[in-house]
Amino acid sequence: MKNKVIITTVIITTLLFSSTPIVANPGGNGDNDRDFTCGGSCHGDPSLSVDSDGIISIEIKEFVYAGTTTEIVVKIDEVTTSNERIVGIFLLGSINGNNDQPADYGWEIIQDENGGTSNYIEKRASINGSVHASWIIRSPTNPGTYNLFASIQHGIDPNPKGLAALGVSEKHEIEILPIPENYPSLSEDWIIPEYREIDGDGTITILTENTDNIEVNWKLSGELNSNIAEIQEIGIGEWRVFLPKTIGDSKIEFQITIFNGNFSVEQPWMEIGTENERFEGSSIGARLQALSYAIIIFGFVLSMQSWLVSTDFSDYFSKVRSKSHESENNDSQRMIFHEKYPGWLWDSVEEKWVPDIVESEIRSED
Amino acid sequence: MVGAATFHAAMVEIVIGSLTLSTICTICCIQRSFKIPLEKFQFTKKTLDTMDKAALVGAILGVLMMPGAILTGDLASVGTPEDNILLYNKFLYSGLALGFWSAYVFCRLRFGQELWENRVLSIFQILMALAAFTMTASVASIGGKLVRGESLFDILPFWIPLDQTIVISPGISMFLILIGAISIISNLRSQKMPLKTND
Repeated sequence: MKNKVIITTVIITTLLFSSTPIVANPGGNGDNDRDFTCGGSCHGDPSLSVDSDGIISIEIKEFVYAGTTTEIVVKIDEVTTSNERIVGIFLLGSINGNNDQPADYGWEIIQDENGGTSNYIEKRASINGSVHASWIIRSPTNPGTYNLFASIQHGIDPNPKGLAALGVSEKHEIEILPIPENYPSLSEDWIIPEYREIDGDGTITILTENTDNIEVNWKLSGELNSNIAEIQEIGIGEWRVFLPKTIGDSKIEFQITIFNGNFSVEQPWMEIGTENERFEGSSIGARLQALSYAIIIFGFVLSMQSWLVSTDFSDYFSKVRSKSHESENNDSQRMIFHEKYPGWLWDSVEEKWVPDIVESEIRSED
Repeated sequence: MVGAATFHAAMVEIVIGSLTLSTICTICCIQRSFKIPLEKFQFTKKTLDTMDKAALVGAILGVLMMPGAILTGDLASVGTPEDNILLYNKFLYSGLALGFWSAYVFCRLRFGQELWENRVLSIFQILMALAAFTMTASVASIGGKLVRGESLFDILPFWIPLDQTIVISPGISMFLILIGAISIISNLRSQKMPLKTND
């Protein structure tokens, strides 16, 4: 009976300690396509959430031609976050709780703020509580009035109850107008690649419609002056654009201007990086490699120690000792004392008389 | 509720503190084998005995807390070793540090204080402590890089390649584990050699 109680206690204790000591997702949940339910269902419960103090605003043109590309900017200001300062930002077509991604209403995300194509992204707010995010989106092909919302979720500090802060913008109405005939635009089939391959020549291919020419300006992020990229037409509405490769996390910004006769349409600024060198590590690989290093080092040290203990180094040390004795003897043989000249020594190497310092010191002490 | 990151910070502080003390005391213990010429820095035998014990206790505490620090660090980390070279290196350096410090503790317990009477072994023990501390400091430096984007290693005049790593396949890792385990067992089963002291 006593053993059973002990075993049960050990099992319960082990289970308690094996549970992950983390609440919600304080380090963020990663960019992805998410419905408002992600922020609304769990955290929508008043006992699990509080209202965000952030001021959310949306900037987009009041009307957009159907099937064309435009930019939407979501600005969040004066938001109080946790120490991590991570803010999750949603771009939504509705706030019903399901099917509220922009794609559900005909919008297509070409690029999000972090270089992907997600409607939910995470960014760090500045110290003064501001965070901006932009999406390059292709409008629905059917004309009409469409709605867009922005929503945010983030931690707060102090947060003793582990609550999430939620905020939703006002409804933003956009008028989608029928596209004029021969209106130059980016092809519906084209989405900007997230990265260029590291082994490639750095070019990207752009697909357009109703276009007889394009122009591409590029600049490094943060630069004011832009440069004109070299362009090669490789087919009808198919263009190869030469953009310089980037290194590491740096990205290049570029803007496409599409021409049809004298008519031109300037697209929003987009960005692209170069793929980092492929890293083929895995979680289990890292753990196994670390364990193998620990065991190999332990075994190596034990082997070395056994070898050191079994090897006799006494010969080596005796040689070192005898060498030092030899040098001492050599020193004593070099200086020759002569009775006729007390206080002086004859240096047999330099062949000259030098004062006998030791004898001088003895005399001075006397 | 206290998160894994808080536990990790506390455990790392204990590990780094105790292992730093252990390293300093180990270096001082060289005086048991070699007389240093500067009389001012010569410790008495009693002080050296105390330093030896402090080094051992510090190392034992560090070795005991290190798995906890690794585990909480794993739980608290935002990314995974799959997409982050720094995190991957943190695992590897943790393994190296754990291996060196475990060997340090084992060797000291195996031979006792007599270890310091043998010049070769005492030099070996000190070199082991220095290697182990370098690995430990590297792990801590990677932690700083991950959380704050900078570490004290940045101001060192030499460069430690923390942003590069060597990836070996899990199969080879398991083979290395097997080789290491055989090496350890064969060493432990071999007869204990009599320790030769300076005299």
